[in-house]
Amino acid sequence: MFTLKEFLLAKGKEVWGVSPNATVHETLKVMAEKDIGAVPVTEKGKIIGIFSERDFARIASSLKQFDLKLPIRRYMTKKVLHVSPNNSMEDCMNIMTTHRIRHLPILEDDKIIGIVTIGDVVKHLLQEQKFILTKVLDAIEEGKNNLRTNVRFNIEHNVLPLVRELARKHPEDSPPFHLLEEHLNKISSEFYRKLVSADFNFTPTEISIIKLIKANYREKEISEFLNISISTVKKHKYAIRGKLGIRHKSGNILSHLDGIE
Amino acid sequence: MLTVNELLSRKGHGIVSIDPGATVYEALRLMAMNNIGALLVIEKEKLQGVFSERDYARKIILNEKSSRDTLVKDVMVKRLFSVTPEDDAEDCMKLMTEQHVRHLPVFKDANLIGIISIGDVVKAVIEDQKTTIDHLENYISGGYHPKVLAD
Repeated sequence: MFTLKEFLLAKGKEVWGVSPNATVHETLKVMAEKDIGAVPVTEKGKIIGIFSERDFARIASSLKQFDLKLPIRRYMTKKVLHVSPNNSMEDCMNIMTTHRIRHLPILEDDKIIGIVTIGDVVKHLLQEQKFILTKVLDAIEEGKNNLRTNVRFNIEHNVLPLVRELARKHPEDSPPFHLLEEHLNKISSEFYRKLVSADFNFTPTEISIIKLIKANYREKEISEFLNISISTVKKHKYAIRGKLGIRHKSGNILSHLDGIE
Repeated sequence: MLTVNELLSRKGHGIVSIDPGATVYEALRLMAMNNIGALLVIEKEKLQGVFSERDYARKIILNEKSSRDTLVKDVMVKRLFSVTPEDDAEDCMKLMTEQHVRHLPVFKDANLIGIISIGDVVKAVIEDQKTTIDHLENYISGGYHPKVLAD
């Protein structure tokens, strides 16, 4: 959590203050010269009040006579909300929005060591918000990717070879095995997802054949595996080439498939 | 990210405005009555400038002027930075930080439809952040259940 300690280090900010005996006029001058919207009123290093542009505007609108030569202690806000270096920027934000204030002195052992303004809060939000969200989203994405990779790896390297071996050993049960392989492919393979989701419009048999081609099966093995004739395999391959748009091009299907992975 | 449109619908489209020919004192009264830090200065339905607490603190007494004899048009800020309803909270924060302003008029096409203050933005962003964080915590800790369809 980002605390005000870091903020103080980063900002290395000088704190301006006026004595309670400074006149209103002098106080306004300090605020204008230092380009600040509020100034702490301090006595012997301790904060005893704060005076802001808002205080000034409100007083001027409510008093008939407003003597600018009077000391600021008469007009300052005496109940000063403050924070400590251990507070977070979020604490400041909450205090500011709840109490509708724009300046929060940072106190340490009763001594004022800095001031957080609503402008600082906005700057912090701009930097931090993106930072935190990006980190969280990255972590989620990374977790998802790890999980996906693990699942894919296990299915492709452990489960699918077993299924294929069983299918070969028990040709009489091949349809359920093919179904099982299809389902596992759907779960594990990004490539498969692209094949089915892409605009190729492949039929399920064509997709099975593509998978087998990718697994380096020859036409004869494909025909045995899928229990179809070699000429049917050839026909399907012809259709696949057409859908890939490579019927009149050289090169095998495999190298073109790599392009869509 | 929150849009200006959403910000406005949370805080309201109300605009407190004053005539450029009004006195600074009248402006201060109006600001106090509405508990706001800035007024839009409007003449013949056209935005002429913004008058804020800062203008009063810096341009009246220190220049030996008086709030009862000075007109708003003589001390208002004429160079305006504005946003549109499609801009988002981040755009507002950037403008406010870069230009050192605390209020941004909102224009839809050529029409003034509201004003956004730095406090409005911070408040909304914090609320929004809390919602996002709640959602994410919920999601990470498993409160999020993808629907499983039985065959």
